[in-house]
Amino acid sequence: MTQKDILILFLVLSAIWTAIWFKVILSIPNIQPEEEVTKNANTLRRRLAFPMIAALVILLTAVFYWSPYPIFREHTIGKPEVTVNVNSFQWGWILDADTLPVHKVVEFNVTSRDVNHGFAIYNSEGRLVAQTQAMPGYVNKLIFKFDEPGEYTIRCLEYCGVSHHVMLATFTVD
Amino acid sequence: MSDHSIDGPAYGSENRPILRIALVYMLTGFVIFLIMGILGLIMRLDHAGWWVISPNWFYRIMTLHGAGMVASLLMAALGGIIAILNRTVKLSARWLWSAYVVYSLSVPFLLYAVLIGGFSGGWTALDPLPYHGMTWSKSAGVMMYVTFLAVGVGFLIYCVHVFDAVRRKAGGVRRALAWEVIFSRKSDAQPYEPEVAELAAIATAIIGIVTVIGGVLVLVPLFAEAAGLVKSVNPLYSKNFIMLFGHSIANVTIYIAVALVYGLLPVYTKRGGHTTKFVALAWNFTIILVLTPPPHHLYQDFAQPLGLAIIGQVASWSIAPSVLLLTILGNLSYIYRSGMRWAVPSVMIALGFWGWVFGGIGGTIDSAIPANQLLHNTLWVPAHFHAYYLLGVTTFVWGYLFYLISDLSGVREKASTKIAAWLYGIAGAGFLLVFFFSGADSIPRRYAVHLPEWNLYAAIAVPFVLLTIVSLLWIIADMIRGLRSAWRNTSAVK
Repeated sequence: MTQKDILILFLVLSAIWTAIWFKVILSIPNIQPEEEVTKNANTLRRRLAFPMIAALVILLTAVFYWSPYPIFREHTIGKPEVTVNVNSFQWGWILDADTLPVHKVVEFNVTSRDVNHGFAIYNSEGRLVAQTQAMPGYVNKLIFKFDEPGEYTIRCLEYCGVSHHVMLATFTVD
Repeated sequence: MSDHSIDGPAYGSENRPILRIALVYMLTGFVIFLIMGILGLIMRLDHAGWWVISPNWFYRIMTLHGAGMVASLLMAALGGIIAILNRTVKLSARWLWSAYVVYSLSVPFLLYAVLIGGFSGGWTALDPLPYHGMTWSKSAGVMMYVTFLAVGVGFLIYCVHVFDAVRRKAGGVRRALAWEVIFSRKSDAQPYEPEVAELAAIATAIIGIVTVIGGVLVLVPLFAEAAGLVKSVNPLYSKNFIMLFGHSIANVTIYIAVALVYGLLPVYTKRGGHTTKFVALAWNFTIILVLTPPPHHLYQDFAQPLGLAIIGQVASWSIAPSVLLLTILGNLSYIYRSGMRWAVPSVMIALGFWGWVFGGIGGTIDSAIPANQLLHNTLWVPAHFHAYYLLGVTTFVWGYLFYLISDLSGVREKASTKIAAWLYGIAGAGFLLVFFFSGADSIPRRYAVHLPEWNLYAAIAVPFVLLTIVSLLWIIADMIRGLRSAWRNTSAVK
């Protein structure tokens, strides 16, 4: 799943909703008694309730399976083969490695020594591929496998003060 | 008075002062909203590279814009519900003025924190940043939290009073929450059916009270830290409670705004206005559905107990079937083949339902944990909540304000103003779509400086922002004709 897939899903759902909305708006001049409309709405409600809730329950299982939490990632991606410690501060990143292997499972241990930061990895095309928060006093473990070699950029995605937007670092995947 | 008043004993000598309070709440919110909108335009001009401002000032403006919008729209929505409640519930002018004064104290506190203290820590003021801002003092951070306190206490005064007033009228909380309607059988005696506005008011007041308690639970330790009584506050604890407070106060605003729709739709469609079982269920669910999703703000804090992420995910997705099947379907059935009379408020209501679901789709997608991994803190997030606010809350609330002034003054709207209302929707939709596309392109939110390749998005958004301003000015030009007369008609002596 990429941002492009998400955008397409969003646009399709929005288009369906807009079509329904237009149907309602265009129906306004053709008056029907309220009792009939209410009855039809209640029928529709009964018919939609079960499939909608069932679909959400099924999707919920998938959501957790594909979630980025270490307990799931160890199953979906694999056990970490390389560990990188990441510390953050206003306004910079300290990584104990600047080159990471491609096709290997990497574990980032991310923390902060002052305020909250957001550890976000952007690929060479400028697309966000993974993230976790950097919180003082806690270590967030982000497990990720790089399938593409290249230069990656770390951006801060949790607002941390006036130089937040220049809190950058880079590393190479080779 | 116009000939389409909402049923009820409106505009008697007793309740006129309350209507004036309602107007003051709504107009205060409206004026602040307009100013904050201009600040929003400045930020998008900066992103387009057309009016570059220093990061220091960008983030100050961003802080003002966020805090000002959230607080002003809540206040305006409260004004609307006060006006509707006033028809059937005895409200106290003293309580409502007290809430207004305390709430309004947030304005000088916020201005002091940002303009004098240089605070630019964002409206969420996420601990530990306010006390470790590097470019502002700890006292400026404290002042930001005092701003929170003023909004919280002002809102609490309103909530406690409204909770008590509605409870008294109904003869108990269960009756006020329409539990007799929900659990009644056909063989039962006629259940007690509260007015929809009363039900909405007590449900949102309960949310408000819990929200403010959440706020107090984080503000007290943060003030203790500032006073040197504790070394620091656990940042995971404070983040959870700041998000509970901030998310709920923003989210409850849309539900209060929807309550105004329940009051307005019968005027234009001659339908609805009854607390049916579905309406009763919707408002009872609302209490849970506003208060349980805030953990979704911490999906990317992997140290957070997994159980809380599960609660956030399940709660966030429970909103979709509940709101769609109960609230949206219910309200669309009031509009569908109803012969609804088109006027500025009814146009705004129609737009509001479109925008609310539009924003809801974006929010539901983002609240899926794997999607959130790719969207969190990108511009997708402001896209979602701006859709809620701009095309949900503001259309409902300004639609109601327009109705109220027209109804109080008897000054009818100009036919052409409906064009302005449609224009507001089109401009808003364009502005929001650009935000969604920007988020899908991984552009971070809360960035003072955008990369050159990102400028185009904001450049496309700016004309849409200008169009929303033009359409609003057009609506104001019509609304203002009845303002003086509406004001006079809310005088206690007449």
